[in-house]
Amino acid sequence: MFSVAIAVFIASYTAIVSERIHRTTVALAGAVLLVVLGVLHQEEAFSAIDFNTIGLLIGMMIIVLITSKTGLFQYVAIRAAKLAKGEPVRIMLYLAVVTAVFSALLDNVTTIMLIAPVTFVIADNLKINPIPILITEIILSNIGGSATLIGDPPNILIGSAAGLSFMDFLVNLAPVIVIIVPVVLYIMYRVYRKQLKTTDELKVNIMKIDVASTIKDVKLLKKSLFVLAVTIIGFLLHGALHLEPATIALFGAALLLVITDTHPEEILRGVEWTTIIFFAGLFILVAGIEKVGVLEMLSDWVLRLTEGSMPATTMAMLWGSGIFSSFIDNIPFVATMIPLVHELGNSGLDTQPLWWALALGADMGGNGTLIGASANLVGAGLAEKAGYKLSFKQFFGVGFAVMIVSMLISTVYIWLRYL
Amino acid sequence: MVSKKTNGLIVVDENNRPVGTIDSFNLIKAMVPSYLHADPGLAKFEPEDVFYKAVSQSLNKTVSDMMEELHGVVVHEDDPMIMAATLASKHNFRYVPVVSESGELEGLVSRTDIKRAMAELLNISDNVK
Repeated sequence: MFSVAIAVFIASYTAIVSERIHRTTVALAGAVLLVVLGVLHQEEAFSAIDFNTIGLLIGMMIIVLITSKTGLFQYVAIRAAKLAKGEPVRIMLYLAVVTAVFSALLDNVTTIMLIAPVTFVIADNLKINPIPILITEIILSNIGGSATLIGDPPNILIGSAAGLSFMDFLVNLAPVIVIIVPVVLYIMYRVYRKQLKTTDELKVNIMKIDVASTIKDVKLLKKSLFVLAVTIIGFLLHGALHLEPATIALFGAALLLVITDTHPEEILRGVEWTTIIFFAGLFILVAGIEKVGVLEMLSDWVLRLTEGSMPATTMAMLWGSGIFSSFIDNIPFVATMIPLVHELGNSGLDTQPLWWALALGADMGGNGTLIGASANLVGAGLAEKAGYKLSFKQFFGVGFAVMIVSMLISTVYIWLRYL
Repeated sequence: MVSKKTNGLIVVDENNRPVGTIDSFNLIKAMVPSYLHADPGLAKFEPEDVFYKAVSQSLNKTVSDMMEELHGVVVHEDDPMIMAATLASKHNFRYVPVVSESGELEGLVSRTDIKRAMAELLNISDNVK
């Protein structure tokens, strides 16, 4: 059983990293194989799926799907561009902040898919290359996403597994993000300010845009804003209310469906079931190696390496996660690390700092390379389809520097606050 | 298309076998950038020269990028008319290719052909003007 579980796990992860077969197909096939080969009973496999994570993802996807039909996101982005008076460098910084805030509340990929089209239109009006702005947005979406429980899939996984609340994330991670954002914005400003030049006549184009006309449906907008507010308040209070995050998200989703009387079929078709099944498969794959004791062995190995020292283990967690996540998808990585952190906790270590180190490492690591996070790849794909080029090298040039700087800031933060 | 005053073409491979169709709708669809397809409301904020830019960018696209693949949607000369009509209505193609036994392109059934056949049955003559 032991070697079967490891073989299936390694084969699946290799296939996911190689990207030759779709990651969801791999996760599903690997998970089913574990059951067929008798490593897990079907019941064990199903109970390994963390339905809190699944419910939270589905709930938020439904809320975003309905809200994105209102034109709210375009409105805010164009507003920001006008506030910047059409000045390209300012637009880049403002849109980056908008992206960071959105991605703290939405999934990063969704944020990029909403902000990229507006960015192309703004760049067309100013006759500038949108790529510097797009890269800045991608980087800030990865950073902003790490500030909250719902902003990034690794955080959702960690929050659910560790029983950490929305408030816990806000109190522990938002402070360091507030330090990282301006530093990174300054780096982006230094790198791109010379490339972003336009004429005064073209700036007028931006000022002429009738921003109110981006709102497609005022009634729907009001309802969406109401539900967004209810959901965010729900998240802030879910610890005190003893409600799981998935309950809050699904409550918001159901409420929005009820008050807007939207036909569920169209909306439910828009839910990314491929992502949902991917998560379900991963949970089962990890449960397989957990059951046969691989993670216990790994945990013992880590403890021997760091001699059980709390600072050494935490720093290893932070930098290990950062480096891994800049080359492989951080979702399978974090899914595997979670039971490992539980094991380390069983051996007497304080898990709190380890959770924050894992979250910060996985989220910041995503900026290291173009393949480090799904938002990066989605952004590059959108740029290519719009007739621009965002190459691995181009992203790496600034992304890697940003990653190192944000990791260093995180190191100091964790050191001072927890160790 | 403009010089032949037609709105559609049938694409064939080197053996004269039909592989796709292309019409004015495909050309327009290929020209409009995908981010505007994703968010059509934004198109009204684009400056005038974006049309020119999009058109010149789409010049790099080949016919096979823009055409709609047939996936075996063809009729033979002795197939019933209703088959051509069904295929034309199911696939939104302007023309349904007519092929020989060996699969080579022999002709086509256009929407107009189908319309005329319908009119003929209903005894509607086309010289009303």
